[in-house]
Amino acid sequence: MRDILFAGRILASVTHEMQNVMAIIKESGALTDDILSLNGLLEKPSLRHGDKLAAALKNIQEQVGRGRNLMIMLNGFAHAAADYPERCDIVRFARLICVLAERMVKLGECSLETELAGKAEMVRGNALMLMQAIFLGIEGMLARCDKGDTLTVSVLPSAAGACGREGESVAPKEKGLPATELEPAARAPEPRSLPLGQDGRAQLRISARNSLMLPDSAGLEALLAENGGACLPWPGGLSLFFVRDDELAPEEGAMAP
Amino acid sequence: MTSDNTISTVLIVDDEVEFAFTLAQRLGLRGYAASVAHDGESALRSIAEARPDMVLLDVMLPGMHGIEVLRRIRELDQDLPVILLTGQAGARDGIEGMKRGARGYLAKPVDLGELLEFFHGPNREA
Repeated sequence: MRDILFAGRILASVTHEMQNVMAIIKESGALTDDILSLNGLLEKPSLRHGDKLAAALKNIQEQVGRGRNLMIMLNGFAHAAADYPERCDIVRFARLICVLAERMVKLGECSLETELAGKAEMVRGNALMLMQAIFLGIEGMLARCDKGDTLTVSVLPSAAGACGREGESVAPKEKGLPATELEPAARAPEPRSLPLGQDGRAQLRISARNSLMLPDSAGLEALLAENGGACLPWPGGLSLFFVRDDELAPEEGAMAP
Repeated sequence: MTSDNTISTVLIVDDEVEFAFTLAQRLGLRGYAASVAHDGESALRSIAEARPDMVLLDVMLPGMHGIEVLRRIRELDQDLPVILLTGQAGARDGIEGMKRGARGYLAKPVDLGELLEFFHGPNREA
């Protein structure tokens, strides 16, 4: 844990410095734009390649915005272990790790969408564990996705956590086939039962039209079990269960980063 | 401050010299007289010598922390509007600063449009 905290401190410090770098780039680009605009130069036909200059200045602003968003998430990641050692908001940190996982998904020639507009949901376990579990889940799903597929990460409202009786069969059994033998179109869109003891738990879903995660789940079970959670691969998706911490209200400053 | 209670002079307090000067130039192009200071002590001296209409104050300053600078500003002047410039995880600093009398806070890199809203608007955060 000491190593993790050290890494977090360094990362947090560097992200702070990077935002200063981006602030200077942004202001310098914007100042250039200001001067050109105030003098009407960008509109003058006499300015050769004025359109290209305008496009370049626009690019600077857009890329600084992109970099800023990444830095916000990276800074939140850096602070996660120290600031949220025992409980955290699953919605906030799912959003955060999804931004940081976008690059990996893009390299896998897929895309990542989130449905995380819900209210904060506090769960037990440190934020770093939670993000690692989600990341591993995305990675595992991605490895079995078709190119061009879209992975969707969502957090179910608390009341929707129970979607079946414990021990009840999941969708593949209804078809009389193991999940691995089902055609994508025949796969059920969501699980019908929950792992033992997960009824009412906070549930995060990663779904993709053509993905089928294998039961080993990339070591997810062990990671989640350490914190009382579980995972359930199902045709077209994966559910991660976390122990809800209903007694605690979201902490101050725990709004979306 | 002008007679219609809008801002005309601004002090930018930031140890990032290039950032402070570039922002000052951008404000200058829009008719504001902006000066810069790069640490808390020089900012306090500058305020004591010539009170600006508004202070843009970076939270992470070398030496005296921005929140402490804010506290010292409040000792000098209860009413001087102060906008904090925070880091990406600066919500806590920003909220703390507002509790201590800052008008609001902005995360870097600063959006000039949002900043200019502060010049005329009520207390807020961005």
